[in-house]
Amino acid sequence: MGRKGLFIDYEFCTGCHTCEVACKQENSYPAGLWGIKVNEIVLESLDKVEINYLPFPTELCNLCANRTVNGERPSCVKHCQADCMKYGELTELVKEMENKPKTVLFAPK
Amino acid sequence: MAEQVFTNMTNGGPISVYVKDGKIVRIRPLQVPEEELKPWVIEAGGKRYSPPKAFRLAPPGHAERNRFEPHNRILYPLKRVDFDPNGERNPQNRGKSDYVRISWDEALNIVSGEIKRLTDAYGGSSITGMTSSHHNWGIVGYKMGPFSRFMNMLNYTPILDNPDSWEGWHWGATHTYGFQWRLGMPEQFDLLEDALKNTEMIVFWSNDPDTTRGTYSGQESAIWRVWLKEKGIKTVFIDPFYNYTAAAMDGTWLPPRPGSDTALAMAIAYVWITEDLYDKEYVAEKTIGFEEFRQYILGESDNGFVKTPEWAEAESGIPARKIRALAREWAAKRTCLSSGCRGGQGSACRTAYGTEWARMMVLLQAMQGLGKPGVSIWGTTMGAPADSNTWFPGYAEPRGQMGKSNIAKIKLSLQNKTKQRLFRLTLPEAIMTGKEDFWGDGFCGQTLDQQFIHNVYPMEGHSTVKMFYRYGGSFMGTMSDTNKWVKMYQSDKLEFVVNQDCWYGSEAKFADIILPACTNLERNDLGEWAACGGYTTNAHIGNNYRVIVREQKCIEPLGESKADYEIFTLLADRLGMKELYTEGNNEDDWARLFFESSDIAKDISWEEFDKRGYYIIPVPDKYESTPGMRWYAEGRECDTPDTGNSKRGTEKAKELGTYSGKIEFAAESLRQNMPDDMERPIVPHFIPSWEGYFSEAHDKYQLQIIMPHPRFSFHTHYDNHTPWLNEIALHRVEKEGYYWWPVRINPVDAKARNVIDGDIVELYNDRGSVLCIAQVTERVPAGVLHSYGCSAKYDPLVPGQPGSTDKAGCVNLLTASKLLSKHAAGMTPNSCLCELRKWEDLRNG
Ligand code: SF4
Ligand code: SF4
Repeated sequence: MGRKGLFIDYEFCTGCHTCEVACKQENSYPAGLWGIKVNEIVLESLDKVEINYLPFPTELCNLCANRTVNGERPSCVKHCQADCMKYGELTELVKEMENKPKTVLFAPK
Repeated sequence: MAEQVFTNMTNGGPISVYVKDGKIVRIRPLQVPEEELKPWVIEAGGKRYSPPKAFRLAPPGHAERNRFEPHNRILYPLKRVDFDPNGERNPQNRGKSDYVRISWDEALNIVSGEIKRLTDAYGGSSITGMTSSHHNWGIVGYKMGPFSRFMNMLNYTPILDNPDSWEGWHWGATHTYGFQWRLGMPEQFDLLEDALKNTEMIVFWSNDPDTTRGTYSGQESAIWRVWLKEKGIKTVFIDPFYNYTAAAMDGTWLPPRPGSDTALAMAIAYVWITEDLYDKEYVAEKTIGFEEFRQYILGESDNGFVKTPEWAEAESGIPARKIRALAREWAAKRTCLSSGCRGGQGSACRTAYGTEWARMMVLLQAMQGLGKPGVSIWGTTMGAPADSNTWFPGYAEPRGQMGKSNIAKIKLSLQNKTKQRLFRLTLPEAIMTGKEDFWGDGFCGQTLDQQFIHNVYPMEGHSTVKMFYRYGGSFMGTMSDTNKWVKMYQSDKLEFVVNQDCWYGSEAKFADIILPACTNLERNDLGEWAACGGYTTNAHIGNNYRVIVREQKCIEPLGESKADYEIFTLLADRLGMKELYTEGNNEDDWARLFFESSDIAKDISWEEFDKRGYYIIPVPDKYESTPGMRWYAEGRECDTPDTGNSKRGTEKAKELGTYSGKIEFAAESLRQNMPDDMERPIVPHFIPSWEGYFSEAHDKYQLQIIMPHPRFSFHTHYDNHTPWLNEIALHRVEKEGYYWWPVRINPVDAKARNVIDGDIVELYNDRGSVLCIAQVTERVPAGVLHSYGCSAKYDPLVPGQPGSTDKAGCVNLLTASKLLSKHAAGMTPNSCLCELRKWEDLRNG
């Protein structure tokens, strides 16, 4: 089994912060600690405002080891309202990137 | 003790609550085995669309657990230190003085004693009270149940609500196409399927569904908009704020100046008329009054004033060529107008003369064949396939209220002898001056004619009000010109004020007695997800599943807090009315009676429901879709499950709710009742705002501020007591240990005022002063500020001083008391001018 990661299709991320709060809830993080943090990137170029959201897993992200041993998806992935996060083998997730622009892959652990 | 799992409901969705040793250890979306969920499938364009097998909570729902850590919870009965019911009451110190803890006995004796004293001396009409919207969920324990049953038993003077989230629709759109039974929002049945199959373009106008989420439906519809985006449906966003849905869908952004939306709409109509781009057959057959409207737009009436795109450019700042291009594309494509419908809480309908904008929204779509395939008024947050014929009570409908339902032996809420009414927006004036009058019956959901009723306070034979029973919520951050609420609370005309709530909202510390209520996670109840009933019937179509939950008591009430029903029962007992109030029922007896009155009692027994904790109403195997208003466009009888439509099933079933039964460009209801009203004329007019870009006050206060509904709280609820949400920098921002409320400002305006991102700034005008943290962004155009109008915290620098600078972000302190127009009693928080300056400057200088 290879390393695992989080794949995020940021074309569809709406910046709802649910992954962030669901992670705090899953890990009981007090205020001030995040497993994942949603960033807002506002570009004011090309005569147009363009906004993108990108959740970034922090040092504390353990890829939800307690959940994934039981075959459950990580909390952030499960609760993403736009279904734009995936969890899996890095080698598999890379294949997704072949076909889909505006994606990122994180291997936090 | 082993972990136990309970079921419950929030205004952001159904939850499972995990409890260990009497403490909540985690809260998740309701856990249902996947095999029990049978998602619907919509086939469109060769693809199958089906929702995930999970429930999507609103973000605050995920943070629900925070609400049970004692941040900001009211734990004990309290009395204001300088309040003595038998001596000095010191009303002038409300909002200023501290509180002391007292026993429940003492608190209940004071409250019941005051009720008795006032009723004996002046009658029940001397008592008034009002609730908030949705701080809890449930039928037995939430406002229209126990509160209404108790207060009406006292023959109190009710305070009528204004439809604060969709004013213009209620006071305006109803006169074009009816739907008064939905307070002006059109039916939304099966419009998701219609959009996936037929729509080519969506114009979001003053609508941010990713933020307002169909009100109570969590994020169930977010995936629908992913599908719409994947399909490549073109989107346009008309909103002074580059809103979150726009960011997610990456549409074309057109930011009109606040208050100019009606001009923009009229210019679109102008292009369609002059370029022959509208559905003439539909207009001829399905509408009346078009000729009068045409003359107004083309300047054949209105003193030759033509509503050209160039004129609209001058008003709105949107270039005329863009207006023309939009109009042409709109007419060429099957276009959905997404401008309301449980998502219409943007700024345009809550603005001076917002009636005219909402009327224009309906009329524009009428010109394109409203109800035809792909041509709808659809918020994108409702319209999933569902079994809408199985009935389950919602708290806002008579059958869901313990004072009105047939399950009650005595329908106390219907027996109130007091006919006098007050109105929420003008309550402070009514209290302070002792007299007030207002138009309409608040929510005018019965008939169009209710809007033309003139209410006068005090009513003959009734007392002015002397006691205020406040239940839940915090209007300082949501109503208009709210410094006047401070003044009202300090008036000696209010002899006694009670506040009953779970958390310290912005009004709690203006009360004489504070009663701690528990939340619905600390008591038993039942309720359906999102479906409040009443004027939004069938709201479950905003969800992908119909979920009924047995709300189970998960933990003991925190501190000494008690269930609302218990508090009212204890008061009734002291007033000698316990039997009358309870009919011998405890909370659970009522819950069971409600359950048994519902249709699902045929499918699941009470015992099983109680034990399992939920019931999911399946979509019928042979589901027949009936898209909203398709019947009207096709000249058929109404075939949707819209139970509020009183013409449905009668010989008038092909008609809309207007006087003529058709869409009215010239409103017959206005012609017959108020023909001379030039602020809501028979044909919609553009009327310049009394407080806008071109008004006199703009010389002094050069920024227009808009304050739509919030993204990370529900109204004021969840703000200020959920640290996890406070940490989201779009909701509140921490600086020097304080969580500030953001205001969004354009870089040009920021630079001119020497403000940089993250500065604490003062927003001010003649009515108020509020501190916020500046977020400098191109998401608002120059000249416009954006800040959500929903702070739950009021933190004046000088407590108890009306007009004091508020640190906590109650931007509504800045707004005007003026209503939509003389006869349209809606609020106008988005017609507001203010200035902004750096706060540090002042502090150091
Ligand atoms: S994988 Fe788990 S720990 Fe990592 S960000 Fe997601 S929810 Fe948090
Ligand atoms: S839950 Fe999904 S859509 Fe929401 S912010 Fe996280 S990644 Fe984006």
